[in-house]
Amino acid sequence: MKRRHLLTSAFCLTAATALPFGSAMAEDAYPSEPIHITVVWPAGGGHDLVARLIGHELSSIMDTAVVVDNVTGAGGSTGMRHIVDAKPDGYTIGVMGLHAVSQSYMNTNAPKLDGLDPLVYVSDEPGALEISASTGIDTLEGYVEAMKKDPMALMNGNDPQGGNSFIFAEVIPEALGVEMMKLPYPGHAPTVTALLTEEVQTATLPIPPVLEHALAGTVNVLGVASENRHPKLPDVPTFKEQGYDIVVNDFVMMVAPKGIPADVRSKLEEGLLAAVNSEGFKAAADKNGMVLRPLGADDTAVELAKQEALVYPLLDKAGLVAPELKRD
Amino acid sequence: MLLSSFADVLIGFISSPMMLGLVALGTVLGLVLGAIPGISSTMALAILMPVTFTMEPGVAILFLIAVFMSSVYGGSISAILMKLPGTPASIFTQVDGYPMAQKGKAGHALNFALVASTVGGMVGLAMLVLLAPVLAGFATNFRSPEFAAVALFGIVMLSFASNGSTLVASVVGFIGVVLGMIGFDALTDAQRMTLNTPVLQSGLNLIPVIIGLFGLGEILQNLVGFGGTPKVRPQIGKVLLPLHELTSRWKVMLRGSVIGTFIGAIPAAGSAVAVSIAYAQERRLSKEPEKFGTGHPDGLVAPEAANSASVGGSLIPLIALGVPGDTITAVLMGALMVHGLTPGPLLFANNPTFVSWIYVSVFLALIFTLVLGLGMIRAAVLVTKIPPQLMYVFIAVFCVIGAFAIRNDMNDVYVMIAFGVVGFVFSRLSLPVTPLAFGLILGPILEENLRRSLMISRGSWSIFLERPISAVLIAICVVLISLPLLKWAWVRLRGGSEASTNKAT
Repeated sequence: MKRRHLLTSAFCLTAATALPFGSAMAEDAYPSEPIHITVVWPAGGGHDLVARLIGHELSSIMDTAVVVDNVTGAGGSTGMRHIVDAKPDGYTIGVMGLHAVSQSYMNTNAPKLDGLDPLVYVSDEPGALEISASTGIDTLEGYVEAMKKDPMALMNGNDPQGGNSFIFAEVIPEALGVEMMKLPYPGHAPTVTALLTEEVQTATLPIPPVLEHALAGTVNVLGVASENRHPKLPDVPTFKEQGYDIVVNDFVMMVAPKGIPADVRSKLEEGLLAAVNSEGFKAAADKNGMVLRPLGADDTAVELAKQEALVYPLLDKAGLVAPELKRD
Repeated sequence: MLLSSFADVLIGFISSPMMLGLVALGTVLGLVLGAIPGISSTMALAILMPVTFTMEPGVAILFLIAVFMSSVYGGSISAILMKLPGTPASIFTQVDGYPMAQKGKAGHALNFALVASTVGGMVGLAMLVLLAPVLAGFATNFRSPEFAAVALFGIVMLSFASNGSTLVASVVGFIGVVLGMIGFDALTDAQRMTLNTPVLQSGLNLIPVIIGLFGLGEILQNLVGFGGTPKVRPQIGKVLLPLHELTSRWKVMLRGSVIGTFIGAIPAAGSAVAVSIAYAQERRLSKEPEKFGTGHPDGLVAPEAANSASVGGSLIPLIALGVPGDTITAVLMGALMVHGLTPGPLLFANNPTFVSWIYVSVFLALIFTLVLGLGMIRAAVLVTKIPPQLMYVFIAVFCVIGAFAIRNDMNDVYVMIAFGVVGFVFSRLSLPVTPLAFGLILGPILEENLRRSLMISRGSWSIFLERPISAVLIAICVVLISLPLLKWAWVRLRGGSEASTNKAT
């Protein structure tokens, strides 16, 4: 059932002052109506920014208005349900990341991943380990040594169970062979605050929220959990370079509800890829420290399956999988 | 050096008609969007952000700050005229603003709100400019135990926030705290009191609850005994206030502004907490607390000054540390980052003129909000000319839209309707609803930070007394709670002949 957005359609008018809007209305071919991008987090977050930037480009590429709807609550499940339950006509698409994979196993009311049709892979968001500069520790070696001496000396700030920095905080210490004391914060911004006020000494956040502080020298990044170094922090080695085989990342992808017509799907795939590859989006994404890796629909589905295979055992081990959702 | 660059940028602005036009446009859009229930300042900014993508960074920020500042006052317009807070920052504005409008002083109420907003904004700005480095340091002392202590302080204050029995207020406040637990636990993501249903999993969002309690509750109240002869509808009254009405309240405005700035400067505390504490504090200090809630100007002026001051406050950690003070500044930070300017320690060093640019933008936005806001009062109060029968229908529709728009979730509409009934039942039983809102705002903050503090201290409660700020706050709480007891004992000792006054100082 496609939900009518009373207000958002009114907002189109405001937004549309800056958008080409009009000629598309006459034709019947897709797209003949505004495209709604669902963001499951509140306005102002990373996903919201991606959606608004892509929406800005997509509106000129597809010659139609693009509206961002923040459908939030219940750890992102309300919004994911909104996407899955939408009419599969290509006018409702959404942004998702690792959280939706976790929620699909933790919450029986969250939609299953098979209700989604992946469209385009936008970016990797590699995990990393950051430490407050005030600890005086600036190498991974120093960190491991300190933690082996006293595991309680350095506390880590991360998401509640299921969030990306929680998953990173499960994977990274295990590979390093240390015990990590994890303190949960509801979201990335409060975690950064806790790191800066030194309530916690380390964090397992992805790079964008800490980039500015890493450049300012208040936070040291000890390692990045990807194959290549982070483009914004070329001096920070990966974990692999330092002898630990840790590759773990969140991701941003665009999805549609299952069952959209093949021609609409390919038009959306093409349009979204063009938007992600546009100069305007690339420049803005680069400034925010995003690691773009644009992929088409088929490769996106492969990536999603890979993430599912990585996350399920972690959740299962932590006892977070709901009994009804256990896999054999 | 700071002041001279401030002056340079200001002159540059004023001499450019294009810039002034943009500020005016942003201000009008902010006023209108803020006045629509359900569109918070956060959402107004998010909606208008794409419009700025093609602008120069400085111009974009000027525009967005104008939207931000004016939407804070815009939220008060619907709170005063329709008893519907347009933004979380205006949830205490209607408590005294709406009764004033009912008494035929809608124009005065809007005027009080506007002037208090402007004064609060200016105090917040002045403190931002002068004290940013100092207050940023103060803000970094706020860790989980301090947050827990602030929330506790707010909850203790709630007993002063409403008329009638303190015990009843406390019980209602406690219900609010419990209701705040519904949904996903912020620390473990476990479900609590959700009955495993989607409606309850979303938790009770503050805005739908407030809209239901105050907006829909009010309509239901009016429908009872509505036999065709409607109640007196709000009159505009005089728009311009006698100057002495304003100048005589400078203390109230200043207190509200200082509370607003400090609470705003605490990352994540937010304007809702600032207005709650400012309102409760003013009522506690007032010589006529029994008049609060019936249209006392002080009850309107204090939270209005606080909400605008908290804007300046919330920009302090944003500019000095790169930590957004609340969700609104988080959106602003997102907008800055799109334009390649990341707030934080490096912004001061790399772009000092840009920091002045932000200050000047706030200053101009405040002036424009005052001027355009005054012009709009006449137009805004025309709303009150609408016949009440029609007005109730409008308000009911706005209640639904407002509740839905906050998260685009139908569940919030059901929550709003349920709380409309709660508000109705409460007012029939003469129970206060304000403490419910207090509990709902502060309960989750207290719980999250209390639990995290205890995780850090490994279960030792002494963490709250070892840290000076939380120790002081807790000591104040203890004094506040035991004050009535001490007073009673004092009166007893003196022979019990004196009538106990209710002035608690």
